[in-house]
Amino acid sequence: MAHEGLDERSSALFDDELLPSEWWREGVDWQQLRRGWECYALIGAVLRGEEISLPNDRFIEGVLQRLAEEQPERGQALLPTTGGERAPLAQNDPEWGMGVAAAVVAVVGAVLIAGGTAAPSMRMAALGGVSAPELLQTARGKVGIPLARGEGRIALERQVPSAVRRYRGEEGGEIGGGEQERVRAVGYWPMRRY
Amino acid sequence: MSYKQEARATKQRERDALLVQRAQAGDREAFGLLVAKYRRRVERLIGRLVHDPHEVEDLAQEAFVKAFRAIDSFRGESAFYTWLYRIALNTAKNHLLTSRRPVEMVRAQGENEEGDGFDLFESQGSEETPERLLLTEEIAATVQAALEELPEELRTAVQLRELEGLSYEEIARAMGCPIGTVRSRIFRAREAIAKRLRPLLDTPENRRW
Repeated sequence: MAHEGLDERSSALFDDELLPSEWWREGVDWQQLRRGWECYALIGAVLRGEEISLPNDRFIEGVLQRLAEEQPERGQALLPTTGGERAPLAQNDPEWGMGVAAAVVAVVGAVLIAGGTAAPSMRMAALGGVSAPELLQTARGKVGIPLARGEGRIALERQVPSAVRRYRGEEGGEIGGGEQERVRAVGYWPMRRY
Repeated sequence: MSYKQEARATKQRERDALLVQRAQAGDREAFGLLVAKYRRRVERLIGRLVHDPHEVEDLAQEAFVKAFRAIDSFRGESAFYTWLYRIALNTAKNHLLTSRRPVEMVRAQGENEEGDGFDLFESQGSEETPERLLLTEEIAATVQAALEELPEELRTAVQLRELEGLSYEEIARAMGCPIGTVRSRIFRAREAIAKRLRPLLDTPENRRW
């Protein structure tokens, strides 16, 4: 079915004589608008004596359908917050944020301690008197990622990409009653909750 | 590019900006308006390289889908259509390469990235069905008849817009009336013509509508 007529502003928008921001409103009948524009384009083509390309609702619907099938989540995640709920993101979880922060502090602190034997008082001062094992324990609790030792690396449960890799070394600073350990940050990226 | 053309291109860039921004935010309907706006030009461009109308339509759709996928990479440094033009051109060329057909890089005289200067679908005449030819002739006759019946001020306004490509401001100066009046006249002229066209576009033979 053809469009039932647009308003003056939609016609001006078609001619680029109105900013979309001036025109935008809620409750737009997109299909009607597209059909109206197609009809206007057809009229213009006839008046200019151009080859006539018939309105093709099927074309646009086909494109939109393919986009909807391909990226159903894209629109939900990025659309403005009004008029719908955002897809839940792990980063929006305050517990997640605290956990990551604790993990970063733990790793940085442990690296400082393991980095050498010089100025131990400064290293401990930077950690606020908290030992690396304690910080790591905090990280385990906050992030919910059990950090188990074994074969020189840490096993990360729940298929989380490498957030922290920790392995036992033959050399390094003394931590936690003489146990020689080295902790290395490998970088991290946003983790999902499963 | 003349000053006038440059100013028009800048204006076009600004006008598309919000639709593009909304598309970048995932608003597919806003992107749908860009599709409605540029479909003919994309089809015309692809139609220069690919001569099967069905393939042209498929490739044009493909080009728009690719454009939406890559819309985040569009930074607004050029007009949206210039960016879309390259995607459409590459889509058509890749299609010809994969289908092992020679790429006819015909650059028609006057052709540019805005797609102007094409003699559209020149090779597609043979694909036209008699019904389609009849319909297009009817549409052309109906538009011309409706135009003739319009009050002179409406007819002049829409002709200055569509034939001369004048902006509303230029039309207002030429006709000695406010821009708002120009806007109203062009809208009323279009709607009067569209009203005459609707019965033709609603026919069952017109499967596209």
